[in-house]
Amino acid sequence: MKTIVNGKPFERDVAPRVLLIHFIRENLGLTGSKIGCEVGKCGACTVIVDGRAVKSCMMFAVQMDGKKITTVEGLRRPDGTLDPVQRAFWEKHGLQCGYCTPGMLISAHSLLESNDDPSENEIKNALSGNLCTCTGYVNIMEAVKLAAKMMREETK
Amino acid sequence: MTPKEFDYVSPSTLEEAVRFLGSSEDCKVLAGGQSLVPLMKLRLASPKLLVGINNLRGLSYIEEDPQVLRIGAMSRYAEVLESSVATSRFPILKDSISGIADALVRNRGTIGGNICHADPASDLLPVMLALDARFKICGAEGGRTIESKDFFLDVFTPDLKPAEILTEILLPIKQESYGAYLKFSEVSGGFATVGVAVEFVLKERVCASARIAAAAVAQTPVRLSLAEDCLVGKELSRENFKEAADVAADSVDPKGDIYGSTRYRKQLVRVLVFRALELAMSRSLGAQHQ
Repeated sequence: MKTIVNGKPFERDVAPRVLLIHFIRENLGLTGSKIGCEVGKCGACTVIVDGRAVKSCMMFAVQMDGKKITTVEGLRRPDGTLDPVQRAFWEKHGLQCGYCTPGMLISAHSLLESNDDPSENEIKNALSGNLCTCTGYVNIMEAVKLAAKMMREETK
Repeated sequence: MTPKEFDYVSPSTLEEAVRFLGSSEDCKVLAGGQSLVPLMKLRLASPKLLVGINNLRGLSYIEEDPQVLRIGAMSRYAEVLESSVATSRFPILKDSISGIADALVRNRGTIGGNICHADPASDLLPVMLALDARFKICGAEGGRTIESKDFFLDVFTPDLKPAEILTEILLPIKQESYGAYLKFSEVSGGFATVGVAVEFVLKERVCASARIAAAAVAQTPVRLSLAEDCLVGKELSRENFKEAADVAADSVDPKGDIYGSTRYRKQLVRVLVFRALELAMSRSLGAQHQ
């Protein structure tokens, strides 16, 4: 199957039963996306497929033939600097242990791509599939709001 | 957690997909996969062949005709929620779909997949019964259309032959029709402990027809027709909502489990029928004020 991950084309033979998250981590070596629960509850494995954030433990790698995938490694800007969402999580300390962070970043990034001025409820809805058991979510919410502000200022 | 080995095909036409489905004794359609993939990982399902239909064209759309809203079976939950045509015509769709799992699952899961999974606790299925939906099905011997009330045969058992694919959901558009769906769940986005969908048609403030259906109270989603009878032909009021709610609770016999005993679930039916009718009523009043 052929797929484009973070802008780079890959061609691989893969058994149908290989989950997308296993393919991304073990075959492509992109270990930013995490395996949290592996049963579709936690969102640590979230990636963007064809423009929408999805759980990569709930899909098979073979389904990605001809698709475009963005993982957390793909958020970094071409010049090597962090994307506003990453910077905002840094600034607001939107993490503690960091295990849920790749999924949080992807979901937040996906939300802000289509809506750079989300309400509190819209942010909560977008992050509803991503569980964090450390922070209590307060700083994560703050980080997403700051990221939205940064993006609005950038586009001005 | 990895499923047992299987073969995978991803046809590009419906005809090809139906042919693949007819070619193996033990095959499954893979739509959004948000129920099937977890089941396969737990090895509760281990089909030998998966027929992926995500690359079939023309199964993802929402179109409004004068008398019917047509939803392509591969429409994702998120696409229905984003469709102002669907949610303004049928606020009950938003009530129901926005409570299914979380945003990530709703980005991938499909309306058709939910219906064919036939989970008795699905939030969408009582809504299909309340709206009197019809389902278009494509098979080796051509197409057929089936009423939603005849489609759910048993737990996880829809009236689908192995080589048939659901292609379209048809929701009749009626004037002066109002509905609502409410559920009780242990956690946000969790499966319904009980879910209730109501829909009624008003003619000069009198209830011309009513449908009430519930999730998670039986082996399939069920219509609560005795409760409906309490409303038809009457001018709607809190009093007959209360009567309908009591009759609804008496008419079901849900199994108890860790999330709620039989008695608890019956009480949930009573409360949710009443509240859903009130919500639908408030929508009808809102419409009159516009």
